Formats: sequence, C-alpha cells, structure tokens
Amino acid sequence: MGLERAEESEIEVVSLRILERIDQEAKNFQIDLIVIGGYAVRAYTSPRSWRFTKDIDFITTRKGLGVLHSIFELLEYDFEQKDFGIKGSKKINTDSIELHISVDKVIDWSTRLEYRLPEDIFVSARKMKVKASFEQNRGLEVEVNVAPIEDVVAMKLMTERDRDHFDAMAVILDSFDELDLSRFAVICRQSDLDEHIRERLRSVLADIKRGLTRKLWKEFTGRKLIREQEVKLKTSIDKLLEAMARFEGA
Amino acid sequence: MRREMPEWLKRNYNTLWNLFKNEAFTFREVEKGLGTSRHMTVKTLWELEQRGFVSKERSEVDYRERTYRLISPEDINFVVGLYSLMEREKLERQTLMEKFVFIDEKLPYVITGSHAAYHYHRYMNPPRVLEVKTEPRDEGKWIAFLTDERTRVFLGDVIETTKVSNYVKLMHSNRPIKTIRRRTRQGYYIEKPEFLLTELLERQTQTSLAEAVAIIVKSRTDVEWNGPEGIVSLAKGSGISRILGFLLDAMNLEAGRPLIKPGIIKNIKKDVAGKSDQVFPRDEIVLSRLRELRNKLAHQALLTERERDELQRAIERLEGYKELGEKWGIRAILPRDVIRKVLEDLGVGLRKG
Repeated sequence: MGLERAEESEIEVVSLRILERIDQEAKNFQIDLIVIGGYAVRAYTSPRSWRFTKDIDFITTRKGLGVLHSIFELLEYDFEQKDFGIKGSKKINTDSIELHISVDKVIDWSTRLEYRLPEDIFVSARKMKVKASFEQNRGLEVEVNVAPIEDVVAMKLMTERDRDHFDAMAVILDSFDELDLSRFAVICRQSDLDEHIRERLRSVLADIKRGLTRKLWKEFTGRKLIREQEVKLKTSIDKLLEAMARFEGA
Repeated sequence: MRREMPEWLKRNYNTLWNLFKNEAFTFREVEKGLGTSRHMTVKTLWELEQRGFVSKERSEVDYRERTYRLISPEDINFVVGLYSLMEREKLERQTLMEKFVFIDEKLPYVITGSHAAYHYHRYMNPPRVLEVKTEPRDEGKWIAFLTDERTRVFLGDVIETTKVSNYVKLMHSNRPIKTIRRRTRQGYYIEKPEFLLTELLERQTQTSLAEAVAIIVKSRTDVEWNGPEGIVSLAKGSGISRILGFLLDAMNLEAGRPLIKPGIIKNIKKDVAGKSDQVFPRDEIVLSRLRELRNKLAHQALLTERERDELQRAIERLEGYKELGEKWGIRAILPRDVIRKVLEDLGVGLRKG
C-alpha cells in the first residue's frame, strides 16, 4: 500500500526551515517579503488554534518579484505565474510544500474582493517567532518577518470562509492588546473593505449570541469555547466596531 | 510522572473510594467526606489529578465549577503494573505517541478523527485534541495511563487547561476496535482509511468533509472501494451512500476530469433511489448562514441593489451544488470552496470557469 508516508512531524520541520530560509534570503537580497496566512496566525495565537496546512503564504511588491525568482531557483522550487502573484512548489518525498506569493494585493477567491497592501505594511511588519505544532518538534521555532496584526485580521475577515473567520477570532482573542485600533480602521477603509468588514464583525457578534461561535470553535480546536473567552471576544469586537465608527465619523 | 502515592494520599483515596466509588462528586463533598481543611482538600485532589487517578469535568456555564470521579483501584493497579514495565529514565520523556506505541496490544485502541486523517492526507495539521476510540470498560485505565504533566484526558467535551499541551478525548466504537485499525510504521494504531472516511462523512462538518476530500485525493488509488469492508459498502451500512456519491461527483465536477473512477460512482448510485429530505451537510453553521441570508433577502424593500446582489451571491455560494444535490436526492448546501480549496491546495487543479 502506498499509504505510508514520512513521519507526520517531519514535514512540519521542513516547512518551518523553508520559511526561515526564504525569510533570510529576502533579507539578504533586501526585498520586502512578509508572511501572511496560516503561519502569521500561528505567530499571533496560542497553539490550540492551529489547524493549518504546511503551505506558506507571503506578500511582496512587484519590485521584489524578479529577485524572488532567483531565490526560488536557488532553493530549487518550481514556480509559475498566477493571477495573484506566483506559486512555488517543492516535492518532499511523496508530499509537497507550496508557496503562494501575492504581489501588491491579496485576492480572496471566495468573494473576489481585493486587499490592497497599505503603504506601511512592510515597515510595520515585525520579527516574530513561529513555533512548531507537533509534540515531537517541541522547542522548534523560527523567527520571521510577519505581517502586522491589523492586516492579518482584516485579510481573514475579508473572506466568506468560516475557517478564516475562526482564524480572525483566534487572533483577536489571543493578541487583541497588540492591535492598533486606529490603524485597523484606516487600512480597512483604504482597501474599500470597511463596510464589508464591519458587516462581518457584526455577523460574528450575532454568531456569539446564537451559540454558533461555540460550534465553530469546537469544530476547529476540538475544545469548548468557555464563557470567559466568549465575553472577551465580544468586548474586543465591540471595540473594533467602535474604532471603525469613530474613524468614519472623523 | 509520579504514580506512587504517599501514605496520606492512599488514606484519602481509600476514604473517597469508600464514599463515592465510581460516582461523581464535588469539591465540597470531598472537603466534607475527608473532614480536611480547604488547603488539604485542594492538595489531595491536585495530587490525584496529577497521577491520573481522578477524572475532572468542568461546568460549561461556570469554568470554575467542577465535578470529579475516581479511577477504580483495579484500573490504578493495572497502570502501575504497566509503568513498572517501562524503563525508569524513559518514563519522564515519553511523548504521547510513544505511550501509544508502548501500549501496543495491552489495551485495544485506535486513533481516529483529524490525527488519523493527517496520517493519510498530510494536508491540514490536526488540532491538539487526539481522538481515540477505546473500550468503555478501559476508560479508567486510559485516564490513569495517559495523564501526565503535559496531557489531560477527557470523556466528554474538552475544555482548555493551562500548561497542558496534549488533550485526549476518549470515544467509543460501534465496531470491534481490532477490525477497524491498522498499525503505522511508527508503531501506533490508526483507523483504516475506509472506516475513517465513513466516520468523517458522518460528522458532516465543513472540516470533516474537507479532510475526507483530502484523504480521497491522496489515497484514492490505495483505498478499498468495493468488497465487504470497502468504502461503498461501509457507506451503505451507515446510510450515507447519497453523501458519498454526491461528494465524489462534486470532486470530479470541480476537477473537470474523472478523479474518481465513474464506475465507483455508478455503483453507489445503484444503492440510492428516489429522493430523501436530507439536508447536506447537517452542519448547523452552514444551515444558520443560509437561514440568515434568506431572512435578509426577504426584506428586499430595505436593501440597496448592491446589498441584494451580495446576498444573492452569498446564497448561490451555499447552493452551488444544487443540481448535483438533486441528482443524489439531497438538498445540498455545501459551499463549493470547501472542496475547491482542498483540490487546489493538493495540486489537483480545477476546472476552468
């Protein structure tokens, strides 16, 4: 049977090492490249929320694209041009790790909405630790340049997928204190997503009221969302909505 | 990983066992039963919990409220015996999976759910809750064996605990455990893909369906489709033939090519006739979303054209497989991106348009 594959945890080690290496090469070549998607959510949340694929998502600018091709060649990645940017792929035994690099904007294919990268996104990015998830890889962590929390939350709320909304809730719950409310309001407006995201946040509040958030939480973490967490989430979302309303009124 | 009990703890355990046996009890009842101070009651329960000799459940209304249930003396003796078979230095460093390798045939078990699924699809990493099917009579033994500084074991809902990295949820199997499992190269047992797929399809959540699709993509040429323990027959036995047929058809539709042999789908179709009033998936989140959208759309006079278009589009997203659902006699409300995302991520490629 061809069902036996490499040890479960091995692929995570490879994926984290690739993440670290690309981040390092981007620094060496002085190009703007930061992590978004699942690995960014990992950086802002506690391990309980991690249900990500091994694939890696980055954003860059058109200026850095040429150099990125060279980096991919150096790392022996196959790559192809896509409507969102470039997609790279590397075989690891029978599995593969894919890279998605969005250029200048991030397109959500469930809504076809676009998140235009704010001018300050690369300067506001932070070096953060991304930890391994498997028990066998305990202690393994890499430090990479991660998108600011406001952008991560906005991108996750932009889509129509429950999975992304769960990610946004996990980030809000675990790292709300790091979130710059004014910047969040500004970047949502700049991408013309403010009404859409406001509607999404209101929908999360309604879900909390109807007990759907608990169901969503259980589906993704296998655990119960306790009342304290629910109250904290609700209070945080109220603050986000207030900040957006303040910005609109200003 | 301390299993030995000091004399005072043995005394308290025996008093509690005589009072409660397998029945649930509260902190106050322990305080009263032992006649000890609050401090000593906390210490007793904490020491028992650390050793896995008591199972604890928290109230979902008030996280601080908890009930306890003692592990029986027979189960504790069994586990103390197990630990005596292990080398002392290994005891401290054993990972959860190493414990399952060690237990081997000593207690029947099979790892199911997302952890087993990950073994086959290597797609979406599993959550920190490991679902394990065991015999109901062995629950106490499992709690005492698996509980340690990093691991907590639950029989019902899993509630987050600080400073713990592994959660184990014990479940029951409606089939003999040894018939539904296979040994991995690493030495632990996981559910055979055919049984696991049936389990994931029965759960009918967006995540379980995405995992089922991922397993099928990665293992479609390895799994057994036909035969008494094949997926088609197991699905029929569980009353989910329509769901299986629908899902395979949807995968072929999205891929724009016969990813799954049409003969397999034809075989399943033979088992289903007419229509059912079944809504698929029976996922409360999706159902609620659809209801909410319909309610909003019902008040058209208050909507702008843009809002109306957006609502219509969102409804279409949920009913994207309407025709396919009709073919299988079910009402399908599965967002198309649940399947499309998996196919795209696993490099299958999607049909244009």
